[in-house]
Amino acid sequence: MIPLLGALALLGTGPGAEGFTIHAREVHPVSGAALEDASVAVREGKIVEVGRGAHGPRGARVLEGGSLTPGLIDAASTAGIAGKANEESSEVAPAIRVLDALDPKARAFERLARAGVTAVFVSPGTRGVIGGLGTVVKTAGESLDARVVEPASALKAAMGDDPSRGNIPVRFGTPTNFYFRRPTSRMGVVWLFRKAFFDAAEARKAGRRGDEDTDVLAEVLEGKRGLRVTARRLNDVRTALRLAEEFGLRIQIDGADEAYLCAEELRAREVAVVAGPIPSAPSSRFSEVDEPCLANASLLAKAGVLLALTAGDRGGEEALPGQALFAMRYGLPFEAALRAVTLDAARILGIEERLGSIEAGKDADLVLWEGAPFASRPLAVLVDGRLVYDAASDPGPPGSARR
Amino acid sequence: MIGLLLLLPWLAAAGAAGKVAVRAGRIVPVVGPEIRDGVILIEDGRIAAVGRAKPEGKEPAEGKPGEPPFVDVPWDATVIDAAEQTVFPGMVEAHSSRGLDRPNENVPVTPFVTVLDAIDPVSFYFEDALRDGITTILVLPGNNCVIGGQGRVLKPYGRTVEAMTVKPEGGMKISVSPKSGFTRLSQMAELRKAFAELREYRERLVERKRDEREEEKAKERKEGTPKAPAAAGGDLVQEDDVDARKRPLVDLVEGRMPAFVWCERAMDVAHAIEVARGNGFLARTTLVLGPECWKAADEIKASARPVVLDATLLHVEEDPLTGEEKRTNVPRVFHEKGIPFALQTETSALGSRYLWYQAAACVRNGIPREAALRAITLTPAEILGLGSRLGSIEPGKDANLLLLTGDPLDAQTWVDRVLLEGELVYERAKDERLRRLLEGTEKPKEGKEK
Amino acid sequence: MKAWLAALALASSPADGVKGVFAGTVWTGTGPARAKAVVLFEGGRIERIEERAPPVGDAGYRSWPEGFVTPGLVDAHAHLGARADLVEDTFAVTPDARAIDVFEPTHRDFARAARAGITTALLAPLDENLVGGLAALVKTAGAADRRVLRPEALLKVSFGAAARRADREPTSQQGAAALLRREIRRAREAGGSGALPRCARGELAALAHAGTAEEIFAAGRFAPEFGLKFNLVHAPLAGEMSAFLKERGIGVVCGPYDASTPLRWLRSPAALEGAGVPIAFCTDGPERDPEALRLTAALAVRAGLDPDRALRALTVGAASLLGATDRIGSIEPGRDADLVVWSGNPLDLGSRVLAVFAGGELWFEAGARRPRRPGEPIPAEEARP
Repeated sequence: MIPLLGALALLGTGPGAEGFTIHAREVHPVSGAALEDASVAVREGKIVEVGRGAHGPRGARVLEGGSLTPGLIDAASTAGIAGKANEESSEVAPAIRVLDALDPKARAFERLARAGVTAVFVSPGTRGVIGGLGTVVKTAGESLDARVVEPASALKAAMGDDPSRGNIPVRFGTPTNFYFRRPTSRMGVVWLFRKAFFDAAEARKAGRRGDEDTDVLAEVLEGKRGLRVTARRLNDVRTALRLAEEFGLRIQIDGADEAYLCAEELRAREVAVVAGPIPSAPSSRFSEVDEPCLANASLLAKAGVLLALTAGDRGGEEALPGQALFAMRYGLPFEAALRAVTLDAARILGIEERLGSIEAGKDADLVLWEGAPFASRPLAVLVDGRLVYDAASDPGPPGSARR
Repeated sequence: MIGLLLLLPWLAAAGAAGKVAVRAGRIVPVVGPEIRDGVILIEDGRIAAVGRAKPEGKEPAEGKPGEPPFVDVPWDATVIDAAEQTVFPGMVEAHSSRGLDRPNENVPVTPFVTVLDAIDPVSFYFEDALRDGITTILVLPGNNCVIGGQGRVLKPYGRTVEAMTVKPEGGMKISVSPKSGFTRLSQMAELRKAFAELREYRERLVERKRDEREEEKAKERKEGTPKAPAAAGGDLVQEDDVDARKRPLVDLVEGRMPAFVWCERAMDVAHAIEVARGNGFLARTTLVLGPECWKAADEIKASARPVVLDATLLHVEEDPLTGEEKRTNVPRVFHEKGIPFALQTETSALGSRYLWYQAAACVRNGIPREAALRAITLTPAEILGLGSRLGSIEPGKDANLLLLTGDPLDAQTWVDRVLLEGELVYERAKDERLRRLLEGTEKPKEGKEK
Repeated sequence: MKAWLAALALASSPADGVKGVFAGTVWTGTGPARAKAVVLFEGGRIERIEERAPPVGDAGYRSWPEGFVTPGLVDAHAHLGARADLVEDTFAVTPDARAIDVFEPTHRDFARAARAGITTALLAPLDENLVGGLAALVKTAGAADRRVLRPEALLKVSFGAAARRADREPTSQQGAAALLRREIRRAREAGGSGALPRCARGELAALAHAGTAEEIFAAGRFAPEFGLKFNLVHAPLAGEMSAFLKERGIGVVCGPYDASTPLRWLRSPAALEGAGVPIAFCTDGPERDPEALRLTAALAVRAGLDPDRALRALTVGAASLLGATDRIGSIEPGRDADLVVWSGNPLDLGSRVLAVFAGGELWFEAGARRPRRPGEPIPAEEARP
C-alpha cells in the first residue's frame, strides 16, 4: 500500500521534469535487436540511454513492465478532424491544411494515447481528387504547439469512387450549386488529377509565380513533398502508379485493400503502403472491394513493400494495437508488425529522425506493456518524456480496488 | 469393459462417430485442472472419459489424489492425433440475432413467431462461427419488438434448420427497452397488456373447459355410460386446447420456455425483473444487457439471474460538469459481484467478432482467466439450460471439441479442427475460403461500379 | 476658444447642466475604489475625482450617498439595432462591409442597453461570414453627434460553424482557413487601404469568433503566421487553452452566459484571467437582453473569477481589448463622462441602475418620467425602473 501511495504521490508532482528510468523484461528498440532485461533512460523529453545499465537522472521515476516499445504511430488516422474531413467547394484543393480543422482536445487523441498510439498522420478525407495537406501530430503533450510534428505533411489525393460520389452531371437539371461538376466517374477523377498536375508543371516550366494551390503541387512535382493516394481497388492502385510514373511523383498508398495483388510492382517502384484497417469480418462487405484479403499486410511485407498499419477511423479495442495483433494473426511476423506501427510508419511520414525507434536522442515516446506488445495492455505511455497514461492511476469500476 | 464389448455391434452401426479417442497435447477443460498429454475418449458422440495418456510401454504408478486419471485408448477407437494442440470445449454464444434473414418483426407483440422460419443455414455467420470455434448458438429475434418471438439453440453445421437444431425451445425474446423512436411508456404498456390478455385468456379457457366437463358429466349421468377414468383424472386443460398462437406465452408463464429479456439501459433492469417476477417466469429469465446496465448490478444480484453482456466491454460516459471521461470495465463489475455472465459477439468490431477475443480482453483487463473462460463456455451453456451437455470437457458431456493450435485466448491461435458430437466437421487444412482470405491467391472479381 | 466651446456644449443641454456626481463609492477601474467621492465633469469629460461632499445647495451636483458608481459598462460584441443587416452572405469574405453604415443611434436596442448600464458597445458583423467586415465602437447614449467612438474599430472574422455552409465556399474548417490564408496573401500583394490589407499589415486588429477548441486552435495559429493582431470572441472553452492564448497575446471576449451555461464554459474567464489573458464580456445583443452582460460577469465570478477583475473586464478591460482606453472604461481625468450609478455593486444581481450619465449628461434616471431632453422623450416602457 505504501509503495502504491508513493507512486501516486510521484505522479501528482508533475511527471516529465525529473525523467524516467524504464525497465522491461524485453526492450524492442525496433532499430536493432530486442534486448532482454534492459532499461531506457529518459531526460528532458528525450531518450538518453538504452541498455542494461541505463538509468535516468537523479530522482528519476522508475517504471517497470513486461516489454517496452516505441510509441505507436498511425500513418492514416482520422482522429481529431472536427466537422467535415473535406472542403467540398472544390474537387482540387491542394492548399487546404487539415491542421486547421484539428481539434487538439478531441477525445480520440486521449483514447489513442491510452492505447499506446503517440503520433498520428491525419489527412483530409477522400471526397476531393486532391484533398489537401495532411499533418503529423502527437496524441498528447505539454502544449498544443509542441504536439505538432509536421504542420503540413504529405498531400492527399484519392482515386476510385469517393471523389465522384455526390457530384451531378450538368445535364441533370439546372446547376444550382457546386456539386454540378466533374468528376462523376473514375475516369473523371483521373482526368482532374492529371489536369491539376499538368497545369502546375506547365506553370513551373513557364516560371509563372503560382498561387497557394500551384505552389503545393509544384513541391510535389519537385519531390519535396510526399503524395498520399487513397486507392482501394487494384485498378485504382495501378492508376495511381501510372500517374506517378507519368509525372515523376513520389507516392505512397493507403486504403490499399487490394494492394497485395500487385505487391511485387509496389516493391519494385518503392511505393510504400499504409494497410488497414482490417475488415471486421471476412463476410462483411467493403465499400469498394468485394472480398478483402485478411492477409493484405502480411503479403505486402513478404514482398518487401515498405509497410505501415492503420486503424483508420476505428477506435476502441480496434485501435492500432488490435490491428497489429490481427495482422499478426493473419500472417505478419511480430517484428514486421512492430516495425509497421513504429519505425516504418515514421519513415513513410518522413519523421524517422525524431520518432519510431528507441535510440538515444529520439523523442521519448514510449509504451510500456504489461506483457507482450499488442496482446497485453499498456501500463504506461510516455509522450515527449511525459507520462500521459498510467494504468496505476486509471480508476477501475466502482467498488473494486485500485490496481 | 464387457459392457462396452456388448455394445460394440451397435456402435459400429453408428459409424465413425462410434468410438473416438483424441490424443491432446494439452486439454483446457474449463472445469478442473488443465491436463498435459491427455486423452479424451468419445463414445456415441459423448465424452466417455478424460485423463492423462498412459506412457508407452510401462504401467504407470497410480496418480496422486486429485490428479486426472489415466485413460486407455481402446484398440477399436479412431484416434485423432492432436499431440501438438490444445483441446478446448466448443464455445457457446448465448444470444445472437445473426444468421436470420431479418432479425425483427414489425408487429410489437409476436410471441408466436419463431426463428425457425427465418434462419438461413448457409449464412456466412454460421460458417464464420464454426471457423472461429463457436459450436452452439442461441439465435433469437432482435431487440426491436416487445415480445419478439421464440429462439432456437443451433449448432453452426448442417444444411437445414432441423439438422442444426440442438434445442428447439431456445427461449422467448422480450424487450423492456423500446426500439428507437418509441417510448418506454408504451413499451411497458404493451408488455403489461400482453400478459393481462394472456391471463384473461387462460381464465376463460379454464372456465370453458369446466363448463364443458360439467356438461359432459351431466350427459354421462343422463346416459349412464361413464367414460374411461383417465380423462377424469387428467388435467382440466390439455395442451391441445390452447390456441397455437397463445401456446408459446403459456409455455413461458408455466415454466416450459426460458425468457431472454433485453435491457438497454440500467433503468430498464428493474422493469425486466418486475415483469418476469409478476408473471412467474423470473426463475427462467436471462437478462441481456446494454453496456450501461452495470449500474443495476445490485438489483441483478438480488434477482439471482444470469446475464449476457454487450460486446462492448468498456462502458464510457462523459461527466457533464467536467467533461471528463468515466470508463467502466463492465465484466469486472459482474465478476466482482459474483453474477454469472456470458459474453457475446457482434459483427461491428474486429475483436468483438470473436468470443475468444472477448474473453482475452477480459483477462487483459484484470479478470481471472478461469472466469473469462467460463463466460464463453460453461456459463452460456448453463444459460441455455444445456449445462449438463455443453460448456466443458467432462465425462458425459457432448463431444463438442475444438482442436486449437495454441492457447484458446491467444490471438495467434487458430481453430484447427472442430468435433461436433464426436464428428469431425471442420478442418482448417480444407477450409478453402480461409485459404483464399489468407493467401490472396486469386484476384477477386472486379466490383461493380456503384 | 476652448472655454467658449465648453460653454456652448453646456448651453446646448441646459436641462442637465451637471457639474459632478457624488456617491458613497466610486469604483474607478484603474485605481482603488474611492469612498464618499465626487466626480467632477468638464465639457462632457471627467475633470477630476475628489473625496469630499458636494457643495451644499448647488443644483449642478447630483448626489447618491448610498450609490455605487462605475464607468459605463462595455458590451464587447453586439449587433444592436441592426441584427439582420450585419451580414452580407453571398460571399464569405466581405472585409469592407462596415457595421457603421447600418448604425441607427435612435434604435430602441441602444436605449435598452443604456438603461442596463451599458454605455458603449461594439457593433459587430455576425458570425456567419469568414470575414464579416468592420465592426464599429459606438455609444449607446449621449448626443447623437458624439455617439461614434471608432467607425472602423476591428475586423470581424469568424472561424465558427456558422461561416461554413454546404452551398458556398468554405464548406469545412480547413477550407475556411485556406480561404482566409489566400485572401490575406492577395490583400498583402494588392496592398492599399482596404480593411484586409490594413489587417494584414497589422494596422487593424481582428476579432475572431471561435466556437470549439479546434476553432480556437486554428485562430490562435493564424495570428503569428501572418503577424495579425487577434482577439477572440465567444470561444467557450478558451479557458482550457489559456496558456496557448497567453503565449500569442490573444484576448478573449467571453459570454454571453445564462443559467443553463455549462460549468466548463463558466470557468473559462477565471482560467483566462489567472493566466494573464485579457478578457471582456459580451451579450450578442439583441440576441440576449442587455442585462445578460452583468449576469454573464456574475456567473463567471460564481465560477471563480475575482469580482474586481470581473468589473474590470466589464469596463476598462473591455476598453483595452477594443483599443479605446483613451476615451472609455475608467473614471479618470480626461475620459468621457460615461458613468453608471448603481444601488450597489453591479455584480450583485440585486443591484439596480439608479442613473446613467453619458458624456456628462444625465441620460437615464430610475423612476424619472421627465423628458430627457427636448424632442427625445424616454418611451414609457423604457422608463420602468
